[in-house]
Amino acid sequence: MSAPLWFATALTRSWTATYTRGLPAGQRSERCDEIDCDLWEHQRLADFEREPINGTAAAILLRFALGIPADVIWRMEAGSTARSGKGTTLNDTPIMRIGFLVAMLPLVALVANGIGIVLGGGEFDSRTEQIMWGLSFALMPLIAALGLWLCATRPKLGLGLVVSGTLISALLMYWMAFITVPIGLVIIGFAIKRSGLSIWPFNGPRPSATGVA
Amino acid sequence: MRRKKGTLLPLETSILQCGIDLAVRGAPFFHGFMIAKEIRDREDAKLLTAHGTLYKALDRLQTSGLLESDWEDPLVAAQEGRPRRRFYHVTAAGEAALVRSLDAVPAQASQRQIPGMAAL
Repeated sequence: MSAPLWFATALTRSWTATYTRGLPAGQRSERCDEIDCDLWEHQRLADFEREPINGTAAAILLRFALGIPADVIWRMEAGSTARSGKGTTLNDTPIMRIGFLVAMLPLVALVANGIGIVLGGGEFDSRTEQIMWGLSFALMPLIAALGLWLCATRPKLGLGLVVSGTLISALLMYWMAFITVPIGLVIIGFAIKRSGLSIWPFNGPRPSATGVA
Repeated sequence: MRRKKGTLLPLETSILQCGIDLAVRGAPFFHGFMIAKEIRDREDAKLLTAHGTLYKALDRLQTSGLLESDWEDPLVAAQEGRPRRRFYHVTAAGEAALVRSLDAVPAQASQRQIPGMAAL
């Protein structure tokens, strides 16, 4: 299998494995099997029609990317039906779900910015410096995003990651502190709410593992 | 997308139409990729329906009772060295829903090519 095709199928499979996390095992494996089958049939047809490999990879990537919103909506619906009890983000109330997505937006934008720097954006004295800064810019919001995701299931760990990720991100971009600090504080506030902990994370008990769908 | 109860989205209509058409051509059971290809060919589209969009629609149609599905025997798939397939077929309720949906939009329905419908 060529590298682009491998990448496209691996990305699609990884995404499927990601968004089906927290669903009952049967439902999860059914969706993963169905996507596996689709990818296999797609490649078989492409072979049969002697389609260029890069074209097939691009088509798979496009199908994957265009389907993401539907996947997310399906997962939200499936999550509220399944009530898996694992407290995934998608089992929260509608307001919390929207809040989660809104809180994720700046973090995703920062990760994208970091990746852009690694790939050659910005002006730096050396390539090494560029990569170091890019990775730092991408890694910290990524850690915060991971923490935000984990807040529902592992509140202390999640909150710790959110706080460290957002604060270090704000420090890295100190010249934009007037924007990054307020946004960071809002994200931390949301993470506290999402984690179900009281004001100080190491005190009160967590009221409920799962949200109300 | 919010919609009235009992109405079909365009993709759902396409899936039911293609499913019925395939049945008329002797293939009453179809899997996801097969229906995506059928829709692309029928609508002369350049792209296949996106994964998420397609499987969400199939899931919704099945939940509504308009489609039913069965998983292929894993042994058969293993013997042929491929992943197992989930085969769908259009139910009687699905056929009725399609007719109702097309009746509700007569102008559009008259413009559509529905080879399978004549045989129902």
